[in-house]
Amino acid sequence: MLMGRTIIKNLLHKYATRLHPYEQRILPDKFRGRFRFIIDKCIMCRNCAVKCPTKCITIDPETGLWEREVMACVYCGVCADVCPTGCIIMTNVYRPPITEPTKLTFMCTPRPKKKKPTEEAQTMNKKDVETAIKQQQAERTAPSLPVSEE
Amino acid sequence: MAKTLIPFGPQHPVLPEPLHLKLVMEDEIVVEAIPALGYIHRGLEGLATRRDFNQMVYVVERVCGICSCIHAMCYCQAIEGLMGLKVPPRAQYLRVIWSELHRMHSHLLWLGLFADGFGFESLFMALWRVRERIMDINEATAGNRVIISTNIVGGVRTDINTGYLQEILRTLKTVEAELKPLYDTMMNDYTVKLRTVGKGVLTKEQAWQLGAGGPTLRGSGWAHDMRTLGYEAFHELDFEPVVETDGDAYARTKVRFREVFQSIDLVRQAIAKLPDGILAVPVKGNPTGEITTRVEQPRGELFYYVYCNGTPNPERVRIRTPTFANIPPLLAMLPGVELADVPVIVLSIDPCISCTER
Repeated sequence: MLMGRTIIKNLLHKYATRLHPYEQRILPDKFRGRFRFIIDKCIMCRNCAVKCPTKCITIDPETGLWEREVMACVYCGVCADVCPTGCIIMTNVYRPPITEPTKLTFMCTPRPKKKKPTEEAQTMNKKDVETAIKQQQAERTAPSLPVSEE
Repeated sequence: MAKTLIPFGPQHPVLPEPLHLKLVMEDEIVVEAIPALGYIHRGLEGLATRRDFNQMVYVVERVCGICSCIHAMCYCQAIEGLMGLKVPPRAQYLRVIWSELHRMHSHLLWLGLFADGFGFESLFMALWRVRERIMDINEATAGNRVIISTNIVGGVRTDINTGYLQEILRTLKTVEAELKPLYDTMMNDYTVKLRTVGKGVLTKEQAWQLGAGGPTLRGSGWAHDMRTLGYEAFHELDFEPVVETDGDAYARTKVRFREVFQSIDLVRQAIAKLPDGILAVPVKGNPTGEITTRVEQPRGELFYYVYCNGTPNPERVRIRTPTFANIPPLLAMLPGVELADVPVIVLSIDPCISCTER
């Protein structure tokens, strides 16, 4: 009796599972999926590289190199949150598996640091510089402590 | 009768994680159990000294694969305590909602594994089907199914909009309706009772002396729940610790199943009381000093000790997880039982070895 009821119930109701290849699951908007980079917007501020918990982003403002180790990334989405220009965007597309360590490399417009002259250099006149150089040279040539060689 | 030594684990069909027990047997009866841990030590406590205290939130989340949100919450509470930050009320309530969702899906995972442990596979699948609904809520509100990464020092990262709060309530109604027949099966089925009633008895005195925690302690008759300390928004919610008195595997199962219903009730209360306001307060400077915090994980009491010396990197982060506290009671349960009952008893403390070895 109990079994008959279960059989009829199972025959009449819908599938318990999704028919996967034919019916795709709709991912929510907030899903942390694949990254999209609009790298032209990058201003090389290094916010993402500093805040990343796995340190998978390397940025060199001098050369304009922007590099991401894909396998080290844990997809926490912090870089997308802190990016001031919105050049890192997390989409809700499912991310494919990676089988070997890969690096994602972009070349951006380099922004070298402006070298500010130090206060000492500003106040020093030429004679002082010359004497300082002479002093350094004298220190270098001065006999140092005997070094034991094996 | 000569004694034999039978190794149980680290690879065993019922164990999701590597726990190794050397079982000293006399005929079919266990005389003594000797544990061996350390198969998945990852050194996350050492990593804490090389990471910024803000980055560390995402690292401690990965200590446990099931109750990740609660680990991050406990760590954030410690840093907030050191820096004197006051978490906004809306963030406190959102933390309660996410931590209770985590408790629900953790208990449902365990109930499924437990059913699979004594060979009731259809119950396992039915429970995990219900669990998927909770995971979908996590995915839609935070972006991931388990490692939700919503906690940050000073508050939470994302908000749940009002429309989706109603959706959560609707989902919880379905979950409750689907769980009630499963509760009857799990608690009243003849075969399930044969495998669980009277197996692995931990008396009330033993549970206290050996320092058990969580459902293992509450299954032995102690009303000991860290949520009653009133951290986050728990002091404004109405609940009582779930207690059973028998102290066997059946009582512990009952505690966990009743806690799922309790969590559903707590999420409903939190959604009803959810205030408006900001999500996080700004963090300035570095933490200094030492602090301990404890929260209630699905498996028991989670304890964090954090010592900071004014630099961005914490000097020491010590994590004591509930499974670590529950292993001595497990060793007290095993002597005197038959070998066939060992998997069920080991599972009944809900071992999470990844947590324990960090």
